[in-house]
Amino acid sequence: MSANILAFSAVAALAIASGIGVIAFRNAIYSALSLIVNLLSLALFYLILNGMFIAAAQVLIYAGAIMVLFLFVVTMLSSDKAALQTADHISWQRLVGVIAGIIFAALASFLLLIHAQIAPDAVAQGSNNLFTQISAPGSGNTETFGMALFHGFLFPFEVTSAIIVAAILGAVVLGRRSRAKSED
Amino acid sequence: MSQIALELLAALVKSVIIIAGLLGAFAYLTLIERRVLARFQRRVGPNRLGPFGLLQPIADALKMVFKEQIIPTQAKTVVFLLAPTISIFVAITAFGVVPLGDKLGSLPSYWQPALTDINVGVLYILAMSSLAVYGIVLGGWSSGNKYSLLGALRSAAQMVSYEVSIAISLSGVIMLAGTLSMIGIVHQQTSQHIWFILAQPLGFVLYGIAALAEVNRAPFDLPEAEQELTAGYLTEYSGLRWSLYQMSEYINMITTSSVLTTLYLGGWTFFGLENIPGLSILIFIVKVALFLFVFMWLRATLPRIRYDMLMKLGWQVLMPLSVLNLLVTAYIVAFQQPWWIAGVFGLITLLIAGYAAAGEMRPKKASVVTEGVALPSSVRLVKVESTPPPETAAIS
Repeated sequence: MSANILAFSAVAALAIASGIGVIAFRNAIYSALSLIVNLLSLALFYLILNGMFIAAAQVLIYAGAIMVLFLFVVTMLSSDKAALQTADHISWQRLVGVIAGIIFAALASFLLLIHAQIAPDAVAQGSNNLFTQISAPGSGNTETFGMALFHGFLFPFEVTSAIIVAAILGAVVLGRRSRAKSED
Repeated sequence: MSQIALELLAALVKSVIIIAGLLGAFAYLTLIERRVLARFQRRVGPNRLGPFGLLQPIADALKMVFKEQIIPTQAKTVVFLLAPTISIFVAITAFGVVPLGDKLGSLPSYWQPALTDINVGVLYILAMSSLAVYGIVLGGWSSGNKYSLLGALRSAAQMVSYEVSIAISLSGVIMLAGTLSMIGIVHQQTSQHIWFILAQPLGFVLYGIAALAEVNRAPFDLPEAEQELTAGYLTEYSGLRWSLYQMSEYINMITTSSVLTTLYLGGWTFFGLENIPGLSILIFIVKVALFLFVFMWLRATLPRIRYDMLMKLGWQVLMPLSVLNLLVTAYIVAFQQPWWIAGVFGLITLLIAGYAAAGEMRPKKASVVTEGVALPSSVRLVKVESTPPPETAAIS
């Protein structure tokens, strides 16, 4: 148990540090690198929870595919003028951020103080106990995940894929239109 | 407690053996590749140091160690130093789940010749090899060199494009085996009495092509195309850091060959011969060496393909075909049809695709002819005006 806590603390420190790095670096590429480290530390969290499949998928999709595209765009656009301007463009953003942070911290500490838990009834009602099955310790394997995705959560899964297809088509249409205009 | 200590010791010893083995294999692969390429080009190749040039890798290593490692003034130093390390780290880590052989007699399970057997082994290899692109992109970007950056961008685009086909074409094998564990897939092939290459010839070829592109080997070595980009992302690297990149490329090649062997050629099995203790590892190595030789053969045979052809091949040929393969395999598995239906279908598709590709490669009628220079049909000039016949001809 203590080894688990030790591993968790180390990974949590890494996650927080890289999370701060994402917003603190002035250079967009270092921000992207921090985000990669952050996503990898999330994968480590899943590993600590025995979620092998989710961890591998996290690395494969977020760190391996999405962030490569981020880095691709950032390196192409800002090779020299990488440092952003120091002036804040939206001055009220900081104030709103501080207020939202205080509210979040207050709510979280309140929930911790009253020892809030997800009501077991609500979990049990949700899609044939699949939620409890997945969140059970040591069950993060591929089969449980596949059963949950294609039996319990099939409808949201299909709807999500339809939304993604719509987004891709929209991007293609918008990209085509702007190029056609610029060629005229 | 001593059980855990023993397992840790076993893991440590096996890691050291595997890393040393991989580095040794890298050193001698460079020699073998130079000799093989020389053979293909009717040369002799390095043969001066030791018998058959066997000491050549040692001489190369010594030379690399004593070379100056230049850091350009334009470079972002930290990332520049970190990038080759990322490459080699990812390459070695990915090899961790490859099973090298069958259980060795009565030894306990933690001494069997596979570093580990995790239940998402194939996904793990895919995830690790998808991280390999960072070493190249960061190296190219941090060099502060135009050619390095262009090579890095090419590499990123190429790897993201071909990863899709890799994942989809491997899914066929995973469906047939019903497991993601590398050892589990080998056991499934013995219990189903086939090698999955028979049921998945299409997936085998698709994965082979896509993996070749993923490890940036010829004919897909555009990120380091020396005629256009000097050496791409490698341009500013010298000495040991340069050889770290070479190392990771060769180790990725070994990993790819091991995946091909494990998933399609039955891993360490060979018609019952693997039951002789210790022979299973030898069988595995021979199969991997076979694929490595094919990689060198391809490098010696095929010219590098053009960038637009690379993208077209990845998105318009490999991906639709791998989805087709996936659908047919899903049909076989879901309706419990015999495996040879998928095999015959795959072979027919391969024949059709090969015929179409051969037709594509035949020299076509040039679409644009300007002043006697025939341009290939893919080259588009900005403006093509039909020039009026010169008036001097009319006068004379």
